[in-house]
Amino acid sequence: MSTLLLRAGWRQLTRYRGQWSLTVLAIAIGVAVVVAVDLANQSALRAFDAAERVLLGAASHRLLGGPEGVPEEVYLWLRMEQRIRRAAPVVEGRARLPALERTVTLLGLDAFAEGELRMGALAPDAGNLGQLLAVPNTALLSEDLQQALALRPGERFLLRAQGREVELTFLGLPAGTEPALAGLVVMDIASAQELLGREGWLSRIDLAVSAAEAARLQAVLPAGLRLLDATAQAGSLQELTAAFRLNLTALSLLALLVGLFLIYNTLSFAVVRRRHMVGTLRALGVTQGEIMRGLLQEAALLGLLGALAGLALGVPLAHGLVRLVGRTVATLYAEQAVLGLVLTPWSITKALLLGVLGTVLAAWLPARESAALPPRQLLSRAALEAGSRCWLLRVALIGAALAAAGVLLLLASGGLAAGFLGLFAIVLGAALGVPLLSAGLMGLAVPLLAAAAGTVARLAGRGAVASLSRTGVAVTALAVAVAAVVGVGIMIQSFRDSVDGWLEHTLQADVYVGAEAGAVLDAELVERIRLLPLAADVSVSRRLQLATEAGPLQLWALELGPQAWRGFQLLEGEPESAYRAFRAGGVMVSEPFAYRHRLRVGDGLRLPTREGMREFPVVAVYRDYGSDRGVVTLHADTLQRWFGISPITGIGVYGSGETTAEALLEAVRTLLPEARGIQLNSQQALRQRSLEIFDQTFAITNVLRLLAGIVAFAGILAALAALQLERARETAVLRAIGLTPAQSAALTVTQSGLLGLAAGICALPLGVMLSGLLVHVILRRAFGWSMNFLVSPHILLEGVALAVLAALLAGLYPAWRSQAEPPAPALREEP
Amino acid sequence: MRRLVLVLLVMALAGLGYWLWRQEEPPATGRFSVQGLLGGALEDYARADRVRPLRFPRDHGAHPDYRSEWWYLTGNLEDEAGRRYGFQFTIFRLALSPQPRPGSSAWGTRQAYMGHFAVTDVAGGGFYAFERFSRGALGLAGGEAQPFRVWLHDWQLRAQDDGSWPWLLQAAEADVELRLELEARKPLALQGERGLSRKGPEPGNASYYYSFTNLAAAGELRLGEKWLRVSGTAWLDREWSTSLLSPEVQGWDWFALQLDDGSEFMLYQLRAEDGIVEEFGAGLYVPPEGEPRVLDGRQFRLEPIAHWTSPRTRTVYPIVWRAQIPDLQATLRIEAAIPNQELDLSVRYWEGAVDVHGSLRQRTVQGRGYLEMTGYGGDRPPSR
Repeated sequence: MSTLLLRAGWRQLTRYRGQWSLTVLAIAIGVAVVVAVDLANQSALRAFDAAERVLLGAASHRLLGGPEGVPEEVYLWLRMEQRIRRAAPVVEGRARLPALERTVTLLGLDAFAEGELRMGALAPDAGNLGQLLAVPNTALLSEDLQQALALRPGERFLLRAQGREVELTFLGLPAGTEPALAGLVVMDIASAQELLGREGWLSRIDLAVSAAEAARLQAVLPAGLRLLDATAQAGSLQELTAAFRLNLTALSLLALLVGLFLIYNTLSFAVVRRRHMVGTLRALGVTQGEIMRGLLQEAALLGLLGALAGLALGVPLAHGLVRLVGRTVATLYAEQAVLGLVLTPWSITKALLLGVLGTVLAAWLPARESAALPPRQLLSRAALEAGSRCWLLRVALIGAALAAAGVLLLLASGGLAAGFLGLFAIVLGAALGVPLLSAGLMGLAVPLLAAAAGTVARLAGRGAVASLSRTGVAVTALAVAVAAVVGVGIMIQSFRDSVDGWLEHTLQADVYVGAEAGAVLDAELVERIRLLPLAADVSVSRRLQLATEAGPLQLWALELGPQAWRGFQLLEGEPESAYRAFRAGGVMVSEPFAYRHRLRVGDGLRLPTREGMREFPVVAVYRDYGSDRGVVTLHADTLQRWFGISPITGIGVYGSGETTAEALLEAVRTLLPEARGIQLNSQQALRQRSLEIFDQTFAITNVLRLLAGIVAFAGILAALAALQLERARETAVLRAIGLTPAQSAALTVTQSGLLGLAAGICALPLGVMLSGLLVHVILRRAFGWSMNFLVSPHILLEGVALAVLAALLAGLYPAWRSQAEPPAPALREEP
Repeated sequence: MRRLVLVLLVMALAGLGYWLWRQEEPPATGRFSVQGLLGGALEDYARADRVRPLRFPRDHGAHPDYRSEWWYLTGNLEDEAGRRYGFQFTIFRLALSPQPRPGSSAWGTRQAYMGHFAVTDVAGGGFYAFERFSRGALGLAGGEAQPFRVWLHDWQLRAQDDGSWPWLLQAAEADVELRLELEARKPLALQGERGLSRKGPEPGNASYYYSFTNLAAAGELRLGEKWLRVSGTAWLDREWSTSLLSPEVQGWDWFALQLDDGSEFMLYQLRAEDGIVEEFGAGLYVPPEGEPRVLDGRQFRLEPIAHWTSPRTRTVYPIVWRAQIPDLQATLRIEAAIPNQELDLSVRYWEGAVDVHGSLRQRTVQGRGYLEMTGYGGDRPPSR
């Protein structure tokens, strides 16, 4: 590249330093959001992966039994008769640390078998092995628990299991080097059995066997036991959270999309501003290619700067996001993985590439356009404005085509990824119509404004319309950002409203008794509650996990009366006949379960019972937002017949006649045993708590929504500042012919405000459409949920207000400059 | 565009550098140290501190109140084609606490078991060694007296169901499997002072120790796919104690030799940093007929003649020895059947088949036996 071009470019950069800084900032924020979400997702994935790797070790298979587990003699049989060399027994249960109010996983292991399977990652240090084995109630803790409890080896802590509080002695951390696991209490298998009251039983046996050995074992397996491929069991957490992570990624890409619009916009300005210079250079003999290369290199440099700054911003942001992701994942899915920020070279490279390539791509069109024009035309201004008017239409047409393609894609494929792609195509397509729409809107508004507020307003209106050729993209970006804020807002609200409605319908009992991990609800308590004069009816529920080929499956077994039955909102199936079939051994499936497994009423569902695989008729599909994996509900009698009995996890109490919830609550409270760990909630309180969990889950989504808003704000600031600087000469002319400084400032602010208003109004249909797609396409495809669609006016108003406010704020600085500067220098300035 | 390429290149390099910097240390191996198993207050365990009458079959079984114990079977075999093999089968028991563990779980125990099984293919130059661990609970591992049976998973050494001979050995791992019937050619011999073998100056530093020095062995050996009929002579050592060795002892050399005149020798010496602790070496001479004779550590000399460096662990072991026992007019040259019989397991030691040549009371003798050498590198083993 010639030094002439280089110097010309450099002069531009130094002359409009503030302007370029804003561009870099816009790129930086866009990249930062993408980087942060990417890092948070990657970190979550890695954490799940590490946790699973440690827990699974070398295991190729898992041997499982019914709800009670595997009889312990099976392990002896495997070792002695079947001569399986690498096998490790596991007793697993949930317990509660009262000091932290935290539920933890209690793992009972045989340290001698651990070395063969998990390389001793969960085994004690050699120095602790003797005590762990020979002294009951000794335990190892994962590092997070040890730190939270501030324990030194030899110190004691309380653990609640089986309704009893037991004092355990902390020996040390597991010997494994990787602190991948959290919320874990590791004990010797004997201590764990005793603590959990599971003498004689194992939760499972992990095995490392060849395919041939597995086949041989499969053939001789005692009844009621199942040998499952461990790798199929693995990845369940990854799969479980895939939809959640995809949602985050999509939101971050939305932020980037907004960012790219802004980059494009800023660079168009840069190019426009340089048309004159480019024209001169071309006239001097510089070739098109050279001009193009120069402009693109400049863009790449800006992109790199922006990306680097974005990285610097993104990493601290990612720290915050990782915490949010961790909290959400812990609330929704599991607590065993340690989430820490992991910086991978790939995510850094990705961010840098994204910044640089994105910027170059965004600069491509304006650069080509300016390089391609003949020099004469470049030096004239009228051609530009005229050219861009018909450009508005062309872009809108392209947008329409894009949106149509998106719709086709949605219709053609039912997958989640296709859903997102379609969504992006539609939103992008619709966004391309924004400049045309805002031009039309302002065309309508100008006469009104002129009638209401006079000359300055008319000037502002006309100026805004005229500027659309250059501000169109910024307005679009603002509109997309506001649409994202509005759309995601509507989505969350629709979701919340649906969940609330569902809770109201489902929570039929007046008082709920629930067992925390480590507590027990016994049949005797149920009987005593039943005998309360205030209680009209009692329902008993048992939740348990059934291991299947495809990972764990949630079973929910109920003993219930007619009122509890009414709590089910059947989406398929007729209540009366469904109830009869349910009593007779049929199962109901929740909506997400039906969606995932493509089940309808009348289909059969194959489940592993203690007598082998058996098909259960599906008698109803019911609404449930409680689990995105889905739940299979069956009657307690069916559970007992086919799966064996399992502990009660919840009791619902229905008051008789005029009984108040408070009175009933007090009456039940007197019946509860002394041991803590039993939760007693009124219907109202339970609903409240559920909604709190919901809000916590969506905290991260709200943060991203906010970030999209910030990106838009930075972008509109850059665009408007550029616009006003560009128009300095025009303003100076106006000033010279008598406009007062205050009028000049008002003109600038009004113009900005008008642009913002146009963006805000355009954003509304865009936002509603986005939310409609999110609710009816994305959430449906990701989780299998259908829900109400609720558009509340205040979210829409908020959106418009946000756009106008952003634009007004962005107009302040140029306004201040336009009134503060004497007109003369601007008039003298070479165009 | 060249500059753009350069920028991208620099970025890629930065990424690579970062990645290299992130690379973590390789993870430590998961094997746990046997050393760590031991510990706790010795005083609370039963001690081998006086002569006690040993009774059988009771004392063939485990002695759970002593800290450590082993059943140590070694032997030399030949197949029908005359190819020679050596084998070692050991079950160690280690108590992890002086008190029995209270509790209701069938997994509860204070006993840990470790098994070592090794086979030497002398002609083929192969050496195969395996290790196992288990808790002594639920029937996974244990040592019972009536009928005698010691086992770790499916490795076991046991008497007939009514407690009678022949005893049976069964051990299999990977490509190696051994099944033997054992018949005692000589009655068991008590080592030391009527079975109390002192290993150090402190009164408790001793073990109860007896041996079957000459067991006829016959059965089958599988190497890979091939089953071989084998027969030969084996030796069983039984020992239990709470503390064996003074802290200054670094290792020991132990010989079990079976000569063609029908006699057997057991000789061992303890090595400290500053040389051999003679007064606590010991030996046993079992003549072809008649009473065994206990030897004092000062009555014999053991000298290394040639050494071998393990290519795997770089440990140097003496693999040719000369034993001199003036009172018996014996000079024996003991040479490893093959040099590489190093067990690189949780405990690293050398244990293998040996050849013996020499003279005993002016008569030329030869024979076979087993040699164990510990403390030449790595950890100090817990036993023997």
